[in-house]
Amino acid sequence: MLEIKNLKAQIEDKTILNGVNLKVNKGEVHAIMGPNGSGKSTLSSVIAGNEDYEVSSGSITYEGDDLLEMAPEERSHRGIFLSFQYPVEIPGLSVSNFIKTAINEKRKAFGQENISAKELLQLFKEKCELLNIDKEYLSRSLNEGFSGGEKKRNEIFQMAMMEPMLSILDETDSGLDIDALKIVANGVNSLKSSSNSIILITHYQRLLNYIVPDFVHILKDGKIVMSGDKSLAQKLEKEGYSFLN
Amino acid sequence: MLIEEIKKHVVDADLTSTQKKSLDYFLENGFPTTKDEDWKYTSLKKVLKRKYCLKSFDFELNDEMVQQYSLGFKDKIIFKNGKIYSEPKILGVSIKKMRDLIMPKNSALCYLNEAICENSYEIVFDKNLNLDNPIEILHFINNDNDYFLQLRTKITCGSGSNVKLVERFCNIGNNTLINSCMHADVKRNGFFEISKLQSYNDNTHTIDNTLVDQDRDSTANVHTFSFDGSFIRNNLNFYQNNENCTSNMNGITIINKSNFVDHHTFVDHKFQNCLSNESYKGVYFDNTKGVFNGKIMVRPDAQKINAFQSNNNLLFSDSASIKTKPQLEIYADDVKCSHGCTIGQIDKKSLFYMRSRGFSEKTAKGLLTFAFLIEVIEKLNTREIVDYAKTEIAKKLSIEKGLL
Repeated sequence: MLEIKNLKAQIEDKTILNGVNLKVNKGEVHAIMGPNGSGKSTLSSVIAGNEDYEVSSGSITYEGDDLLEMAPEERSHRGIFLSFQYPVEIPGLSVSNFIKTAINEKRKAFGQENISAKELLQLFKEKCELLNIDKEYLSRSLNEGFSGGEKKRNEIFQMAMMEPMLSILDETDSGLDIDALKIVANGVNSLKSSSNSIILITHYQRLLNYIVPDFVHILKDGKIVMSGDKSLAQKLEKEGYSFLN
Repeated sequence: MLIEEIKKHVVDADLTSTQKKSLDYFLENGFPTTKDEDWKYTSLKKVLKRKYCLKSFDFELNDEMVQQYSLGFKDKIIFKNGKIYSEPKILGVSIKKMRDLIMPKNSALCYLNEAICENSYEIVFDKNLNLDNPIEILHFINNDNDYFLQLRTKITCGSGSNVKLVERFCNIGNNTLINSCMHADVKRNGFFEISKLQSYNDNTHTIDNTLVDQDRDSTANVHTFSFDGSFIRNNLNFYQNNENCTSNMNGITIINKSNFVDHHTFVDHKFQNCLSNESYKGVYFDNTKGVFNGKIMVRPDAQKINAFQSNNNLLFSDSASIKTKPQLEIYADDVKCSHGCTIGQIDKKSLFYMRSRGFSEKTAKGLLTFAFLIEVIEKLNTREIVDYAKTEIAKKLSIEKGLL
């Protein structure tokens, strides 16, 4: 599904990714861990198409196509979803209107009709139940005045509504209390299938107790320096990053 | 050149002594120039260069034209080139043509207006009159030649009355320079609100003077929507002449092409326990220019007043510009005043967030711009006005109105 080869990226003149290689197949869950400043969020931003970062070399292939050639919105239409570490607030735009427009923009890109009100309502109802969200929250302005936890839950709610092929969860666990973490993890698990994939970016093993990864990668100084199964995360939790030295 | 035309025009006119005095004042001072502090960034030179005629002219007006410019309110006061054409029959509302109509003045243009305006009206709303719906004031303007038009209206809101107006200048003719003076006199406990819909064609150049006198316990709201028109200068003055007055000013400006909009506002806090609240937001495309100057005067007796002012601007083009200046003069010590102005661009993070959700760049920018304006839109309480604003905003942002 996604293949990253020798990816180098920089912001202004600072090199952040320095030769990342990663292959994600359908149905897989990958966790990317690493110390602060190792390039985890940059990697997710580059996959989603943030133009602040300049890719200096390497390639990203998504479903056989050159991902780096696509605009951010096109990547979204093609099924890539980034759950933001710091979601933005948009006053005056309700959660429901935002999601409806996002769904319709995707449909428009594929020459499909807008989603019907009935279908949308059904979908909202289903996903609100999944994530234990009060329906009243749909009419609130997007992320405006939301707590950190509410913002993260809202990201996963959008993910549930948009049914992406490849989801990148950038520190979705930070700012969540243990109950919220369980709800969000349950939501993510129930959205998981053999046809979609997930990349989890996290600092802590805690999230991986709930969303069990097939692979764990350690990113350091802009490179994946070690890969393994879930036991690698447990080792990290115990020993910290010092064992890498 | 226009001055010569004015001199010629008044030779045959039968001016009252007040008008003569005002004319003398104007002729002595002339049109404001960029040497005047209040006109530093606003040059009338280009606007005054044309050969305008001052004679009014009659023309046919049909329902279709009225409908085209109306927001659909039932009650309308319609003027043709400043002359009353039709008025609603509402108990407690009367319109009188005035020979001498004296108003406060804030520039030589107000003196000129007083001297040569041939059709001055006073609209009186009786005390305790409570209008359920706004009344639309439509000024239709048409002339065979380039035209310099004076409009002059006094609005008297009787004590305890509740008056809402919507005003629009509809130029269906040639190049027109409009010099409009409106004086609202809001009596005790009165409520006055006017929404100015500035969606003009490119042939229209406007100087819009609005002066509001407020008595005790009154509220006055002025909403100004500046969307189209090659040159717009708004002079908006509030005079709080007694205690417990509230003055609200809201403005939305979205302009493109080479259009120009200048908002000069002034609040004169003379008495204690009063409030003024001012919020202007501007969005500038292409080669547009904007000016905002918000002056707040707090006189020594105006203790315990609250005065808030904000002017926020988004620039969408490297060749667009905005000059913004808060101007506070505070001579009382127990007051709360705040002001702030910002000039910026669309937030890149927000734009990326929306695009990563599949929004096209155009739609994302449009919705983020709307989000920037929402604070002002939420202050509007009339469905038709909100609808008008959304229609015009969607048009300017090239997005579907349904998204707003």
